[in-house]
Amino acid sequence: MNLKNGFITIPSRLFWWFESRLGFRKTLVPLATHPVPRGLGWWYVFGSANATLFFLQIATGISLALVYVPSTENAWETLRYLNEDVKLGWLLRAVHYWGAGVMSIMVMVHMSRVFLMAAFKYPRELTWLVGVGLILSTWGMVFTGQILRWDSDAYWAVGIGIAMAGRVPYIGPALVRLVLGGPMIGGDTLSRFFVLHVFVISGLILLLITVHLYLVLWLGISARPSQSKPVDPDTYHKEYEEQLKNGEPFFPNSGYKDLIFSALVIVVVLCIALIFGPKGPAKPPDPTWVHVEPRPDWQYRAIFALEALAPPYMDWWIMLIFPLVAIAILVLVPLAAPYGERRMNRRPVAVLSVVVIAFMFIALTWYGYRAPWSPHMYAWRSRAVPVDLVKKRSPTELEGACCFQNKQCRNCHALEGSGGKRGPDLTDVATRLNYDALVRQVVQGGGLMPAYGRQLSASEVEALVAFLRTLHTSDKPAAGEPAHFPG
Amino acid sequence: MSESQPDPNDQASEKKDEQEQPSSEELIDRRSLLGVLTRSAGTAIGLTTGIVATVASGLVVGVGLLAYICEPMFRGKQNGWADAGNIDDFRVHHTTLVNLMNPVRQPWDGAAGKIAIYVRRLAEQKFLVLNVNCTHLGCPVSWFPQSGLFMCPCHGGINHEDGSRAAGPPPRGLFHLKHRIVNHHLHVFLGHFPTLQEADTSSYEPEERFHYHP
Repeated sequence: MNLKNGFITIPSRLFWWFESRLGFRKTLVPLATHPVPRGLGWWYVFGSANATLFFLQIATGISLALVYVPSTENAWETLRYLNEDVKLGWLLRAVHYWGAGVMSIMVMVHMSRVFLMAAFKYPRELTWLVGVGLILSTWGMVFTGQILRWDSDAYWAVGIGIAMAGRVPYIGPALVRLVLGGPMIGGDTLSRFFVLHVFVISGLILLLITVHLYLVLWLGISARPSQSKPVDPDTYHKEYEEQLKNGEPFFPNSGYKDLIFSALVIVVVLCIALIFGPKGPAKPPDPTWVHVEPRPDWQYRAIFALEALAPPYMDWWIMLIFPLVAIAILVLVPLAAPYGERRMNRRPVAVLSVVVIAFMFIALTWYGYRAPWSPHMYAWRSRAVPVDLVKKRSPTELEGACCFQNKQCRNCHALEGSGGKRGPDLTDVATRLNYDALVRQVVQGGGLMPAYGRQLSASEVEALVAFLRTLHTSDKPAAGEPAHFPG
Repeated sequence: MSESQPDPNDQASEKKDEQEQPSSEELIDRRSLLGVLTRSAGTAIGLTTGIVATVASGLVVGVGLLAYICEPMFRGKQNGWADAGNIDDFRVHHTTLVNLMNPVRQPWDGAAGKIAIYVRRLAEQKFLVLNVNCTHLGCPVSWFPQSGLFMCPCHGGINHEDGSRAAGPPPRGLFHLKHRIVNHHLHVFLGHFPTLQEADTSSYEPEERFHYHP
């Protein structure tokens, strides 16, 4: 050993000490520099972004678990402690929450990109199937994660989940007890969801990522559809080999895009977390606090809206059959169309499906936020009847206005835009319904409205209808009685 | 078998082999053949034993763990009696929200061990005890004494004061709870989370129910 040059050659000697024992030049380097088709562009970065986000979630999740206690007695308090008493604890919680949100979107973007470019076709059908497992696991993590927040939203979300499970024929009640870990929502329930979130589904995701990556590396990155002929199993491999001959090494020629995009995603998550902060926890989860408005996280608002809007006879189909059908369709995609055209402009059904499903999801999610079907529980005593609607009214009509408030009509019906949205705004109701129709509607209800005939005395009905009959603007007359039919 | 013992027939068999052998590689003598057969048999027995042992021990552990995880499935409905208070604390024709400790809770449940019920006194000795869970998907319903309606915040289910369904998605009225009056106290039989298949603890049968099974 030459001591005079010893210092300069330390990095080189260190490198070779490791390399002679690891052998990366023969294993990882060829893997990283494997050829990919040219001209891929930036459309292929979403998969690695998902992996980056998942590892961000693992890192923040581990950090959270250092403080969070998954017990029904203490969970809420430890989250409050993290929010307020731990330095930057709120940011840690925020990164974990918004990271989950961005990952939920990114997995759907990645799946849409793969679907639209028909990269699920031969020989990549298995890759797609593993991907379906990954997206289902991701949504499982979202659900179990929001339960772990263990606030009033989480507690009742468990109730809703098991009410659905209870509808499964024959095994429903047993399933309920399996999920709850007992007869009722309790400490055993939170423990089960903690184990699912931290160990079981996480482990499954890690396993599936490994298989997914193996398949991606073994089968190679699919070329752009514009550069590829329709998939024919007899000629595909030869065509792909030809494309690879003119290809470029994945790293660094194409891989730098993955690095940039993943870093960008992390920065975006950090920025959103800094601006919007963590979610909750909302009110502490006390089963005796019944005046709550449970709401799921945004990822599940679409299903929330669907369940509220569907007529009762469809409930069973939506809760139990629809998820199975959706998963079956996802699984069947590569099996139903493994060969053929890959270009988007030759696959109108595929493109339309993505557009329609995306639009439905966004529309239902937005509707899940508006939630017009939920009565505004405090409107009857916090929103006064607009002044112009009680001016120059007779005593009976004023009594009717009091009735309108006291009997919680305001919870579902707005006046001049304020109040519940479950029923129609009644500011102009007299132009639509005449006296008989008003009495019938109040007494018999129908649709979303209960039959108030049971809840009101005859004089209360009289006063209420008298008030409602005054609800029209001066330029529009009140609806009149129909003429008697001739004969 | 000793390796060093020379084969007495060596020279003779060698001469015969030189004339008969079709290829030189596949020639084997009895000793080697027996050796190969023994080792093959040994490997086969070993492999079979190994596979059987692994599968058996795996099954024992796996089935055991699965039984442990699924054990709650095989319990029946669990409920217990809880004291809801003196009956004189309830006014006739009034509905009250009562907070109780769930009789089937775990010691470490904390606040989750609490449970709420609606109690309506119908007459001197007649009560109606309702679960707070909406029968649609289990959200807690709020009681409005002014209009005599229960309203659910989640999907807008509405029930009358006797628990029967008034409007919205719920397929039936609120769940009823078994109760009795003991020593001037109202005792309620409750505990498990009610679902449509395992609902009331009383023998109440709701008159209307949407038939949603195809």
